[in-house]
Amino acid sequence: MDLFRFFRSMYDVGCQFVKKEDSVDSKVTNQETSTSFEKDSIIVRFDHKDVLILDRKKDPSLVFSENEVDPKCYDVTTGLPETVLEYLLETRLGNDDDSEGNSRVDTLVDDFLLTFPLFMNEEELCSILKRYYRGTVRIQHAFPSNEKKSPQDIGRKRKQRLVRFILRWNKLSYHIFYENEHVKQLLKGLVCDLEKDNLPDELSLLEQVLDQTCNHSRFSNGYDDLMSSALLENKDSSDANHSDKSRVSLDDELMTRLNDCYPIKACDNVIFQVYRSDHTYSKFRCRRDSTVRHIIKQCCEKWRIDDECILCELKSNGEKQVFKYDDIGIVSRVSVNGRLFVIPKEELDCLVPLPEQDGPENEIHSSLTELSAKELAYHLTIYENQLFRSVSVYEFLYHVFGVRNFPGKVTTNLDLFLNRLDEIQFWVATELALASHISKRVQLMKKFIKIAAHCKDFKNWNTFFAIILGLNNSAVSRMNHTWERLPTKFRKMFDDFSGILNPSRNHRVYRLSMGSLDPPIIPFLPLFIKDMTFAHEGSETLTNDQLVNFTKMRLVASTLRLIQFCRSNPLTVDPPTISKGLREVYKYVRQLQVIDNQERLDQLALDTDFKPSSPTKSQTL
Amino acid sequence: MASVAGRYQFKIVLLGEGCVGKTSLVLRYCQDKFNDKHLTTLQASYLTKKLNIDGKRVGLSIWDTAGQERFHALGPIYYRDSNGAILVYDITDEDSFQKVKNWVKELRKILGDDICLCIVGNKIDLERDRHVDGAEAEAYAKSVGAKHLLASAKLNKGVDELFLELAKAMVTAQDASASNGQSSGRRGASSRKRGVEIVDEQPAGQPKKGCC
Repeated sequence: MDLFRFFRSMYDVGCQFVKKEDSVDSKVTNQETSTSFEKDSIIVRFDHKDVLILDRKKDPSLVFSENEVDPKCYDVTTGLPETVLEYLLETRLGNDDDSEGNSRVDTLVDDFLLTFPLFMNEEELCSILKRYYRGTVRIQHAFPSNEKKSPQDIGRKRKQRLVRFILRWNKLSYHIFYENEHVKQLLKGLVCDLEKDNLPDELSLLEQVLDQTCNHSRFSNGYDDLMSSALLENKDSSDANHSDKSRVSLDDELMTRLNDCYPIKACDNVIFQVYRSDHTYSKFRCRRDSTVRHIIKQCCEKWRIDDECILCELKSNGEKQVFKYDDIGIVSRVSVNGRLFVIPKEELDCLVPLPEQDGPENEIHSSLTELSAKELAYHLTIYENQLFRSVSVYEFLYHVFGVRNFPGKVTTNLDLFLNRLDEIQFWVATELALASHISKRVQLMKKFIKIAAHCKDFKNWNTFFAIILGLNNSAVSRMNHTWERLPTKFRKMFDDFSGILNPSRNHRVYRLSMGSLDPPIIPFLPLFIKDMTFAHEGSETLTNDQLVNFTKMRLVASTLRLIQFCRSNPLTVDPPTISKGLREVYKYVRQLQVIDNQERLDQLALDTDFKPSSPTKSQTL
Repeated sequence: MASVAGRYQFKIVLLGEGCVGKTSLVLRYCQDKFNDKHLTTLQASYLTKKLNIDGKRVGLSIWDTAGQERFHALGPIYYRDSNGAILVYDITDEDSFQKVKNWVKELRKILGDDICLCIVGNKIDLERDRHVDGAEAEAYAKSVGAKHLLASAKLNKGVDELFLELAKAMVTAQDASASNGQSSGRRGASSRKRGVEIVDEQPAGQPKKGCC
């Protein structure tokens, strides 16, 4: 895909679709199915109702012939979900096409696979696919073929196309293949059918997918336990014995696992702490997709409370967020230093944050000063990459279209990735606000700018943005004395970097600089979320006739395709020379100690930047 | 940003919690095709609008933070150098009004009085589920020197009005500052940070700004 062109097209205000008037030129008619062909569109009707509308592509390179209609000259505009799927299976998965090369011109199948959760669930999709394998395809009547083929041959081709569809799906989102029971059942069923139907090539391809799926499920749990303990450790560093076991295995597997990622599934367990208003807490183990109601019930049973309780997050600045009883997947949504409380409703007003939520109080003697900027950037990038690759494309959909609209779905991996942005931003501000001496602050500023520069070299835009945002944090931007002492070279670098953050003309600078890069790229995700939010709010998902607005789906999918493009190659960054133990760095970047209370940061910055530097100030003035 | 021969160019930022309808408001205003019969697709999330106010030509560039609400750190890069801010809450959601108050506090702290504020209660089509007291919102807006308006992006009510009101306020503010001989280009955190010389100009003013 030509990224540069894509980004340029982001400035164009999109196209408009106008439904065609009924046409008299009806070429194909049988009892219930009719198709009208027009110069610019094809309308398929079942029982006198529109079920599929195709518009001619506006690509001049495609030759249009009146006599023979080539489906590839048309894009799906609207249609019933099932009809769109059948149409794509019939026309877009032909065996003479090199599926890779073809997808570059025609992304309809990908667009469907990337966005289907918006108009059907996995169960529905799988049952249509199963039915398609067996035969009965209504759309066939709408586009009868002139070629003479035996029914066996047609059936064979159909089955091969279906397998190609599944393989494509697996390539776009392998996550769903080990997460969803319906998909697993479909795979198993198809493997049996293919064996019976004597299609050995297709059979072995699907068997491979099935094997990977099973392997993934096995590994995923192990990794999640590691993640959980690491996260928990982060929240409660005094609890040392819990992580002893994992630390040993961590060390052994670290080197080989630096590039691996094992996404967290809805059915995985998470261990987390829940507090009461007196600041005592208990640990609980729940599935990621547990409801708030379930968590409250567990707490009340353990604490023997009969009152009606609520679950809320208390942020370090005292802000409270009460979760709804039906919410799921809330554990990963808690802010950096936020804590979960289960309390009787009337205690909500008197809830106060724990002292530890303040974050570090004094200067942190941290690896930050001992490690080289490149080494830190490398490990930040490794971690960011793991987080990014763990996010399923569908999590973006759930997030943008509202996770509450997708029963049983969680966005755990995306939550962790997005939280990381806050964490790094606050990390930069915290380190600077706590550094009491001005020369230390100048050193740190230089260090952070260097880290940002390396992240940019690694094409890790997310961490790059986070660090520059941290340096733009109001606490840091008011450190006038420190900024004054920063060498011009670094000042200039910082100004250049801030220029990349400039949102003018829809983040033009960033989009252009990113558009010229080859994958792997770790993009600045909030921008993609913004693009999808606009696509979502700008038009309806369903038309008044309950047809899917596939034009909208393609727009949403264009962003998702870009995300997939960014991670289409594995991360290959040469590790820098190691100055300290690998495990220490690995741990350090995953357990940043931060202050996430903006008021506290502002106050600290004010105190440090003005008091100790007053002699310097009088000298310079 | 300055007015050249009767032409005004303003930057407006939309702030508020997610799901209060910011994007719908701005799409309605710039496209006016919201929920129409025809399906529209929109790719540009940066929007502009030209207005004529009493013979003065006004250009608005509207910056929406769509879907980025949870990234508070991004706020400053959006509102920096803004002439106006539209702070949207959902009249059925009390929390969203609280978020507006937080934004007002932050904007006043960082940008001072250089920015014109317009607080908007959206979704008045859901009046019967109202949870934010209208009089209270009105009084609050007055207390912080902001306009308060009600709108419904869905019914296309009050949308044009709110942008027009804000545009008028910005024209008035710019005319006033021009006649006072102040440079309209200097404001807030960005200029404070941009150069050492500004710090030197007003060293005593700096610490105070952080406390208000």
